[in-house]
Amino acid sequence: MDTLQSWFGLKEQHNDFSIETDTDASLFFARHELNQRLQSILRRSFRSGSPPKMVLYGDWGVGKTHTMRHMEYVIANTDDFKATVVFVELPDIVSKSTFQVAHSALLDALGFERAKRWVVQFQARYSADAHDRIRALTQSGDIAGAFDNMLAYGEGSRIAWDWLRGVPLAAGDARLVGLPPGLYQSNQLVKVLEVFGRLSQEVDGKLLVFMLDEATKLDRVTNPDAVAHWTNALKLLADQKSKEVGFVLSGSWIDPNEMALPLQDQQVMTRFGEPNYIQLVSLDEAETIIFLNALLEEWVDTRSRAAILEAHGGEADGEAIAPTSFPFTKPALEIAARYTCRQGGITTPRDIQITLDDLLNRAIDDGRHVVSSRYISALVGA
Amino acid sequence: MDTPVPTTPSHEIEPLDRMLERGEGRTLEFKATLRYDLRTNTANRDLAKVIAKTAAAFLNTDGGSILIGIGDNHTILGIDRDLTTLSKPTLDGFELALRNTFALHLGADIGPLIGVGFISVGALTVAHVTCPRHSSPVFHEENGRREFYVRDGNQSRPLDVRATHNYIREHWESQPLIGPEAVREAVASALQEHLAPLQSDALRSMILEAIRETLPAPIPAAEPSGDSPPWLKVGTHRVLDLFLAPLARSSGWKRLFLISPWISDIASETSLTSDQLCKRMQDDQTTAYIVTRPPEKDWHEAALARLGATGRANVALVPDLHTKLYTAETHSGSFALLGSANFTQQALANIELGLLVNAYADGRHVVTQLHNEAAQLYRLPQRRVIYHASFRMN
Repeated sequence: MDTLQSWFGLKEQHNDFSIETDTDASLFFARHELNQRLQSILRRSFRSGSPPKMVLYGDWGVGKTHTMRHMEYVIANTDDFKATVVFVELPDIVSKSTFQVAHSALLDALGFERAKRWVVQFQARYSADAHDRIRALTQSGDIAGAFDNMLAYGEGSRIAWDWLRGVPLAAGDARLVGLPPGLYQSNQLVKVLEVFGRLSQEVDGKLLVFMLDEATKLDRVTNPDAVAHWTNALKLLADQKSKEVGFVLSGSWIDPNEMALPLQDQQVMTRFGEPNYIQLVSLDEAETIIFLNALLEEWVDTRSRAAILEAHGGEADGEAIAPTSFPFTKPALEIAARYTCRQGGITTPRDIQITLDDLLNRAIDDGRHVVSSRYISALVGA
Repeated sequence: MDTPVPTTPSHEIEPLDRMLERGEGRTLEFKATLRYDLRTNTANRDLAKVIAKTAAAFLNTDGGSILIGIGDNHTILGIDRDLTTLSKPTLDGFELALRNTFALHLGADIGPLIGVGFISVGALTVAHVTCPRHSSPVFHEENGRREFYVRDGNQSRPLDVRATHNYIREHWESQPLIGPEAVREAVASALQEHLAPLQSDALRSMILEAIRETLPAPIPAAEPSGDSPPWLKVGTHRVLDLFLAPLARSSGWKRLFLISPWISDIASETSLTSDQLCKRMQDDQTTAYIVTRPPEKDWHEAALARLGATGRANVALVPDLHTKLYTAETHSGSFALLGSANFTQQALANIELGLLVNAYADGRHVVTQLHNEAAQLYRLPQRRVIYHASFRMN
């Protein structure tokens, strides 16, 4: 079967030109300035011991998820950035959904086993006053009690975990662990996240950074009480003065004025700080060429490229081919970039990948291994 | 506040001021309007569906009351604005509209069990809807889609397949249910057949595992093994709409794969018609990859010609094709439908089986793999391409 992979000699792991946000997180094409800015924010954060707090926003396909995943990769692979990243997509929510939905998703991603390990080691280190330390941090005997119960045998440990996730308990379960039926207030939910941040620092010596993707779903929250709940939680998590946990959020808003109501709140914006609202913008034609060059060079297997050029080099119509342009000739790649940017002179990384698939699928149909400017000009009417 | 005066009391009514003081909770919900949209100052029939869902939740839990005409912070707004949206702007007309909504979404047999009364407060009137706990499960139905709601604190919450099954089993213990083992066996057997054309063993296993998670647990269940994956939806009724409905709602169609042995014009009143599909493909400059069998029937050929004429479709003919797989990449998200349904009008009437996967959480990898499967099917060596999408700068 003639696939994109076999026809154009893509590396074994690539079926097409899609960039997977998790497995390809190490890659960051074209956006040198953005990359520098993010690295700078991370360096500043870790140097001062304050985990990063920021909002990434921009149009569909502009690369927000990939950017977050890349930040996660950079943090995990940079010795100076000692942090544990917990990445989660905001689950589907409705108009009355409170911050508890995100809170429980974040703790689910953190995981019961890791949380329990932290609590066990924290208790072992501060056996005499572990309870009091958590109580002092949260101003809540119930939250400190729930962390104590994380060490219980049998059901008690799981029940306490559920309570910390903000799940209402059945009356019998609540009695068993000696806790109120539920943990509802936004400031208490954030306190729980902060305790885990403290435990991460104490036990693993790493900061804890929560990343919440697909936050555009927050647009659906319209109930005033739910909006207030989110606003208060975000206000606390965004506060640059609070050093317990980092918080990075992303959503498909093009303009800050279009953001979900809690993110438009003046206090939330002030606490994140304007420089930490980072807009990801579309690529122009020159950036598109840089992106295409990087993508093609990374995706195509060197030996396969050489073999294909030896057999089919004549299809280049005498035009130069670079390792960063194959299977396009250099002039053909410029036309491909212009075609990709045909709407308003700009495009997004997602559109580049789809257009590349479409153009090269057509080249296979037409029996071409090398795309020359004559061929692509006829195809796109350039 | 004036003393509330019930106009049509069918039983002893809790005074309005006490209900307002009690606030929304497990057995009480406030709604500002029935169908008057306060944001746009126009009639919005979708608002009434929310009231039907709340009623279903009360019926399925412990019963409860809905007060219509109560705004934010428990302000009494009354239902006068709703009356202006009715052809018969009276309390009778209001009750009729409300009962029609219940009959439409909950069933004609449920409506009569729901009480509707009115409470006068000075010049204003508040509607009071009372829902008893029902003796059997009540489903909310809309456009052929059935959802099961329960009351959870002050919210009405839809349950997924597994949770619905468990809830029904626990809430109506004496009700006979279809044996979950029988359901599991039937679905697993049907899936085996329809997954067979997939090329990837790993993908087949992943989907089978996911579907097992979604199905009700065997009885006796030792322990619930957690919620079903939120990225997976299984349907047997109007299965093609599982794909077409989210497609219709999605903005910015980027790429579609439609893999189906038979393709006809479609006219789903609940999602898309062929005309709408073709127009959206052109408007959004979608690239569609369509794989089907060589047409033997005029209707099949005509449907392909219509898709080909959009200039947005690559159509490949593959003899002996058996796979039915549909994938979409849109600005609103990516999703894929795999199952038994052809892309035909008839499939909307047939009993089929379909598995909709959304690119969310672990579903993201499944959608990617299904997309890769679809791309490979487009490139099968025995194919013959009869239409190509055009590439034009403008």
